[in-house]
Amino acid sequence: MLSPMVNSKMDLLAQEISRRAFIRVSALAGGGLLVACGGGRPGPGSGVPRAVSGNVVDPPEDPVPSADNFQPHAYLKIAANNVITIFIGPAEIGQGIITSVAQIIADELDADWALVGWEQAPVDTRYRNPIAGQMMLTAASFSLRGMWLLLRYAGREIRDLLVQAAADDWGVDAATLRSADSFVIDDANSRRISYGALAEQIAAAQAADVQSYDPTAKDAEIRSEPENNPKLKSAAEFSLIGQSMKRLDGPEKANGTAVYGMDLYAEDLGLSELLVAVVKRPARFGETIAVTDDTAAKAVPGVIDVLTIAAGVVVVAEDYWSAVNGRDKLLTESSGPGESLSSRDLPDSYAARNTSPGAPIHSEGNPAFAGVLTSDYFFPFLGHGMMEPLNTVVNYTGAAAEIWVGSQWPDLHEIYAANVLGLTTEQITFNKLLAGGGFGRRANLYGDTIIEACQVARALVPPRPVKVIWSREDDIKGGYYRPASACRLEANLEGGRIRDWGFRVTSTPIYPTAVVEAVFRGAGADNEFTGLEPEVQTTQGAVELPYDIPNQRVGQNEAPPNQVPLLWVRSVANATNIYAVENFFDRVAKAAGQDPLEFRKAHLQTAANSRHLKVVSAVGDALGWSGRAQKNGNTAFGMAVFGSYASVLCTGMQVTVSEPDSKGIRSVKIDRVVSAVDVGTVINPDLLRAQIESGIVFGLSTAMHSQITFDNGFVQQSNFDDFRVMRMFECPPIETLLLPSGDAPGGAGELGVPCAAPALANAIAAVTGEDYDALPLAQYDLVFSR
Amino acid sequence: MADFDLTINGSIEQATGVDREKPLLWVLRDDLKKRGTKFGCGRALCGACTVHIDGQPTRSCVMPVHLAAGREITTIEAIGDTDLGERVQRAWYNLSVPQCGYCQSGQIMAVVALLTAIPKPGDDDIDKALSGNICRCGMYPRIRAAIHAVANGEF
Repeated sequence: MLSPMVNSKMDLLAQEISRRAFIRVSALAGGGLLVACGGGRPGPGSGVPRAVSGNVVDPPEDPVPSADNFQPHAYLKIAANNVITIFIGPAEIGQGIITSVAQIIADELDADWALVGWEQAPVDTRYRNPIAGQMMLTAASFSLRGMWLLLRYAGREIRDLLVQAAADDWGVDAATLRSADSFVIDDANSRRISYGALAEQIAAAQAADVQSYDPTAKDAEIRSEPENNPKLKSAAEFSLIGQSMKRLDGPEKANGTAVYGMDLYAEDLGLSELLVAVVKRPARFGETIAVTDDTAAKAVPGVIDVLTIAAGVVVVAEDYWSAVNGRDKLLTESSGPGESLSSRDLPDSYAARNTSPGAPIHSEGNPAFAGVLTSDYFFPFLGHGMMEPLNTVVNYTGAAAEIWVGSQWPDLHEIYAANVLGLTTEQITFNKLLAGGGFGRRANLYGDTIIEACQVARALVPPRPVKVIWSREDDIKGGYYRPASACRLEANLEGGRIRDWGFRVTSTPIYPTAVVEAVFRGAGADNEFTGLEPEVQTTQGAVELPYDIPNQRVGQNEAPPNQVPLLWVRSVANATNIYAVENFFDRVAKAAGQDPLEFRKAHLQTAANSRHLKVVSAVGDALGWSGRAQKNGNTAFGMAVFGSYASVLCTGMQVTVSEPDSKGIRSVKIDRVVSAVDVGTVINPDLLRAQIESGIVFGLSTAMHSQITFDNGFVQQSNFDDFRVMRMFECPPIETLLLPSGDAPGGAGELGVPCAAPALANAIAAVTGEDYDALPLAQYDLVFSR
Repeated sequence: MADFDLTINGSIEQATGVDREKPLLWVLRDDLKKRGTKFGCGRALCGACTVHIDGQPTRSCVMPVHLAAGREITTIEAIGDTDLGERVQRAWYNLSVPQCGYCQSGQIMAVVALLTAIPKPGDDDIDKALSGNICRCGMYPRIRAAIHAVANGEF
């Protein structure tokens, strides 16, 4: 049922709809799961407009009836009934990108937000992000940084065309007209016309541009020739940007009808069947696995076949339960040169590498390291643990394929699919879906999950549609972890200030340069993509040290080789390097006999780090730390500051730490968490706060508990009992101060992660006087509560 | 293999030819296509699969279907039909509780059970009732705030 507000808007529109268009109402039955898009094919994850009444918003129960849709731009279509649908290129992994993208376009378009909906963009060059290697890669907080201007110009360009179309119809000068709430308004003649009524005519004129839209060329053009493009709004004219609009994907996520890949069944996809496959992978990385006896597995009711592919042994069944039962009964043998590393050996072997200064990555001044303060840090491997286990649906028919997956890199993954299936990308329809968390796992440059799913599909003879599902254990044990790393920090003091600063890291680049280059070139994006160089992968966070220190050196050492598959995890090497930098900074302050807050301020006194000083001061004030001692009895403050993704953040905490109990265990209560962030321009304050809260909880999970460890090559964790993440009882109140600078929007998805752990450790250390040289902190006999 | 009459959201639904040990989660999803109840861990460790059995929050991923037969099963598909469930969902929407949203069916079912048992829960009650439900997006502070907001009649 439509809400009264939408109905009244519809009534209004019925009178306004022009001679050009008529409404073909084809009410969608039932609402909920199936929302039609693109030729009536079920399009999971489509959005519907919402109705607004006062401060409390009623999530809509049913979509607004559809009408003729006209597409004047690659990024949007306008229906005769004035519903505007935004095509979302970046992957929605929880960060709220659907809403942010729609807000930016709708603002410049002067669209009626209550009648704005969304659809997943097709996988197509038109939806590439110019700064993400010219691909549809949702990672590294790229989306808004790369798309901000493109989205605004798209909205403004279409708005101007609509106004001109109305001016032509009315025979008046476009400059005498204004636009608001998806209408062109002629105040002088007391008339108005809806965008929906004008859409067909401008869409027809724009058809060629819609098809040939090239975001990279457009981005270059609007930067080099802004005078040849529409005049954008000034910040003061924004009506949606900067407002806490409700999430467009909020209704379905609040009532359980949001559709993820895991939720797709044959009937949703117009298929007669959809098999389920699970894969038994080798016991250790580097090994291969072979079936020794599959009789019992094949005897499990519902099991259809047992196949072998490169990744492992596949049990194909009618449903998930049959598939995992069959897999449990498989007899297999893993053999070959398997990985044999043991995590207990890593801190020493990695620290040994850091006795070498390493390959110089960054240098300032002339650092001298005689008589230095030194600390060694160690960070374990880390998994992602997204809530929605990995899954991929492949309908391969031999001559074509359709794929549904919550991918953070759909255009690359489509290429992998084409390679495995022996098809061209034109023969593949690749549907990106809402993802139940990503954290980088669904942005694998190696494409492991998509390759595996396509291998399964190709191994099925004759071809049958199949969904490959990873169990939680498959995910936790399945590799593609953040690499283990070690840092050695060194500093010299002079006159109460840091004179020399040294940072060495021993780690493993996630992606060798040759692989990165091959992938981007193979994808047709042979641009100068920066940001994935091996030294960036390992020294990120350390190179961009914000502090005024005259002599600095950053060096990189190669970790001992192993066969563990590696991948980025939310905030990548910033998470570990910032822990080392910011924890060590407190130790140096202590050695200097200074308060860490004041010591930070003293080293943030140049124009280059003024944003850092601003957020540090704000957090110090908000915590009540400014002008007071860091420690008061068993309670203390701690903080960390960090800038990346064109944004800057400081997170501070107040903790209360108990004396050790009879077993030597201290209880840590996190009393408060306060962050101050400068992300340039804030698109949606509430969703920005949510992202910072999210990052802090993610960072605190790794601070307290999370790690992947090995014993003789076997992963020792398997599920959320031993791969521990933060839970409700441990989660403190989190406050976020927004201190926008007015610059172009910076990233926010990863920003909250890196400072959480060092802020916590610094606060605890202020009470206990202990050094916390490694994560997770649970190894220091600490237990946590809110 | 057996047939089961399951009382789901007030209606009798038949699951035919299923393994009696098959978890209720997979019967709901794969057999009955009620996909709002999510698979997260399969071992009652994350709470994404939470449903109500006779009003009690229950991890359906480890409950054999034969134990659910003859009992009142409520899922996310129907919880919004109750006044409390509808209020919780409105709070979830208005306070932007979901991010990726995948855990939220389970969170909402756990919260409705909590608020039914304790209409004005304290923070310790919330810790006890919700610590079995993981949110990897880290929306715990918003879940807590939304619970208080519903209890205080703001929704």
